[in-house]
Amino acid sequence: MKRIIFLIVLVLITCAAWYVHKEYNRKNKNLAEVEADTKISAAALLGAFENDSGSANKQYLGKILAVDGTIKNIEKEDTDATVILGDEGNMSSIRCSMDTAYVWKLATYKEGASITITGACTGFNKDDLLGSDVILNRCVIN
Amino acid sequence: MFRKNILIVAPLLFTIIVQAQDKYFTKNAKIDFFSSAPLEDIEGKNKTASAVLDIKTGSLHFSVLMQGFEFDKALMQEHFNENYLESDKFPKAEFKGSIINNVDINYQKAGTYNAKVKGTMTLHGVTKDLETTATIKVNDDNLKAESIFNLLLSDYNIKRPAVVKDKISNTIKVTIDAKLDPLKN
Repeated sequence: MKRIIFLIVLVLITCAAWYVHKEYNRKNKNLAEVEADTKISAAALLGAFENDSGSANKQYLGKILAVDGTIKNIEKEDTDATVILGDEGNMSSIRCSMDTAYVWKLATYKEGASITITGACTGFNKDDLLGSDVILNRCVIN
Repeated sequence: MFRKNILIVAPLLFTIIVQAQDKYFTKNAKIDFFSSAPLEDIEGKNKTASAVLDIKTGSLHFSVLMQGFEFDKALMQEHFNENYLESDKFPKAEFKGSIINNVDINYQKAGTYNAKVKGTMTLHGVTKDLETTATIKVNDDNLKAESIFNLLLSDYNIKRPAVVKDKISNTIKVTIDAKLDPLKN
């Protein structure tokens, strides 16, 4: 009987150690392999933050969003790239900081093209001088 | 009549253009923080910070979204946002200040200049005075600003859980790397 209890405890400890190790070393998800929490247009997302950033933060902050929009600009520097979605006449935008592993996919896209980008929403940077932005991180192209 | 109007409007336009070129900006500034810990070093990287520098007055403004810091390990990133920085309550950190020796920097001449920066840093809902040094590299068509300074977690009311208090340093090293382009409105 003691032997069985000992074996059960040993198995439990091994499972717990395996779980802790796995959880401790867990990497951020590759967003190309996950389902977005919400699908939304660039205009609707920007409008939600501009109207009530507190409420939009509660709804979207940290969530994985698939955003449809028109490419206003693509900024590239070294291995980094940011896709800016929005209307040409509006200073505010959705800024999508690309996962560097997916920057190559931008080669076929130009300004004015429609695109769907999936990224993790990191919030809203309100700025009257530069234009306010909703920022998405680790972005991939769907 | 048309020529007369041109004479009135031209100086105004020139003033607007000159004013706009007084400001340099970026929305892709890199801000890293590093904390040495016995168990494992903690390092977060953010490449989506905004910054504006007015070269006429030396006025400087940085803002960064806390959720934009990325870590090698997802669990570390979750703890950073949920337990330490409480990013849902305090989503943004900001620095507002100026280059106090702005007159020593010749923005018309390419070169590397030392800057003394003074202002206030708001982090985790706490605003504190901050004084540091920076390097401003003047290039032909942009500026490069770099700075390294330390912050104390306790200054910003960022609590380290008692269990890991001895394993996480109270001092974090912040590194700023920003390429600023002229602001054209």
